[in-house]
Amino acid sequence: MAEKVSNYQCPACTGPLHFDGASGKLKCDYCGSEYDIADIEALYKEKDAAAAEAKAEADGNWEYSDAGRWGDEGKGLKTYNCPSCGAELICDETTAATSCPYCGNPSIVPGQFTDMLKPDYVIPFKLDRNAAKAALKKYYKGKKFLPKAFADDNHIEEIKGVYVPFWLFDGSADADVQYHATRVHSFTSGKDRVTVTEHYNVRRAGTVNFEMIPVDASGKMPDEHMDAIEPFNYDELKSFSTAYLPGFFADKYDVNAVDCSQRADERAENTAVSLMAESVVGYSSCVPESRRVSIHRGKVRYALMPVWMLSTRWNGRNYLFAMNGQTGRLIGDLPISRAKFLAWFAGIAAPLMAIMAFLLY
Amino acid sequence: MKKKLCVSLVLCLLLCLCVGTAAYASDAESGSQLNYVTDAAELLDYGDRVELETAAAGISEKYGCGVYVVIVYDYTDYTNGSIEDFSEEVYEYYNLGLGEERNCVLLAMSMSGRDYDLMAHGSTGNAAFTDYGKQQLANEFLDNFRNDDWAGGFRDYIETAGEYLEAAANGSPVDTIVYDDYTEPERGLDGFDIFLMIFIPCVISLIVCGVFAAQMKTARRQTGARNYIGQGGVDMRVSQDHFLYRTETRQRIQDDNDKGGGRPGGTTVNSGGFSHSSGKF
Repeated sequence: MAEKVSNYQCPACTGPLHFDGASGKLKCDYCGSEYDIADIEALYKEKDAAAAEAKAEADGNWEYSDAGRWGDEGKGLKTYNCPSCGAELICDETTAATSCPYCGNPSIVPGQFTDMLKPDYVIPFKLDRNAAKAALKKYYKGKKFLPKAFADDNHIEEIKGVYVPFWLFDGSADADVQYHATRVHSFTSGKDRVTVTEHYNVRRAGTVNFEMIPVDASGKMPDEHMDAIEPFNYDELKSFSTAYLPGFFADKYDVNAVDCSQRADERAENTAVSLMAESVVGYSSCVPESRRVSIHRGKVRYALMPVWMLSTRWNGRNYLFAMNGQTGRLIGDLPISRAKFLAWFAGIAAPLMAIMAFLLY
Repeated sequence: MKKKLCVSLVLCLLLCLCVGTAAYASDAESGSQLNYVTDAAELLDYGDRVELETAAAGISEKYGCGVYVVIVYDYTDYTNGSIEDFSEEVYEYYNLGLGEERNCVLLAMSMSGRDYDLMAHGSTGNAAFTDYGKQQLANEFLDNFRNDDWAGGFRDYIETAGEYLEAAANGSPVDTIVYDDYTEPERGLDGFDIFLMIFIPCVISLIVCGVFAAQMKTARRQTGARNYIGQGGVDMRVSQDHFLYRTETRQRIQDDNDKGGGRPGGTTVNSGGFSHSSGKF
């Protein structure tokens, strides 16, 4: 785990390395060399050990004056030095990986994973920045109410790849639901139409097992956006390594698993009840009368998921889009043009009124 | 039968009182034993009676359908039934109508209760004086009668009856439907039609626009976890279906005759071949 700032430099030319989603390797921006993650991790382990020995040889500490301290202001901030250019940087306390605004080198913020759970898994980015831009343009297409100026004048203000922390909950839901169901059939008897309704008491009970229900563990990320880009393909889950982080932003969790578990429970309960209802077939109507659901919590895992966040500003409002960095699913709310809405409304309603007038007159 | 005899006697007397010249209803030709205009209530003066009788006779002969007026003080003096029964009894007793089918249209009036009945008979009579046509015809004379303008009302009746017979002869009897090439009634749009005409398209348009608007907002919370059902899947432990009870409802099947009207327009004819439209004036 990174205890200090690391930016994985190329062993050949000392240029910065970043994780390349396409090849799954660390790639040098300058000489183009590619390295296996395991090799670089081993190399840096040796370097860290050597640096620790060198530090032990030094003696004495500088004394600082009693001049100003950050106090409460500094509680939400983290300062560190860029290992490449030496600039002193300040970032959010939950930022785990970022890049230096001076030299552009990707780096992992020191100490951000200490005293916290280490992520169990990471899904590396598969899609790059250009894919995110292309997906956003494609997303605009076919949107009937999108103001033309929004698509034409729109410039993406910020695009960043973020490893978003998620809790993955295992568990099961025991559901026991009772329904009042009816079967209706009718036949003709003489001059009468006879309708017979048979009433049933239906009970369904069962257990549904869930594996790794994801809940966004970052308070900064809007839950709607993180929910909507699901699902992630868990077949590509990798054991966590900081080697996947360079080149992207990374947040650590700031909402703990206990607080997030409520949402996982709700989702599991809804699905269990829904599955029970789906098993009631062959009836004309089915109305739930009572239900009892108990959730059995299992293992919880901590994972970082790849998300491209795109933001743009139009007419004084921010519009935020999120793209699943693995599957390419892009979501986000778009502005609605009132003029287009009214034009479509009138365009549909007016001919229908003419047809209705023709039919009624 | 006593009543019928009574009717016979009184109307014979009326017959004598009425103008009996050749200008009047040619009983010999029509076979009728009554003039076209019979006024037992003495509403009309001599000149009006002659004028009306002449007009009615001309129209009747032209179209082969007798146009009659019978006015009495109180129709219950002649029948135990309704004013419609009175009209039919007069028709039958005096052998009214022209041609083999004895086509006619008859306006019977009873002054005591201010009752009237418009009766038609025969294929020509019933075709020319439809249910709707009889109502329209009544509107022509009722305004006169309500002002005690008797001669004017009868004049309107006879003239309009002539127009209706002419229209029927041309194949377009006065009715709620046009018989030429269109079977639906012609009518304007009422308030409910206008409401439907505006409301339904607006609702459909709103639904379509709502679908388009929903495409603009895709950031939504997930409510289920179906994608994360594990390998064990769903283990159904209980699946019970218990029959409780049954209920039965019966509803009478409506046939076309029950639907009250079926095709609009036309003439409603009773078993005796008569059609009526009656009321007060």
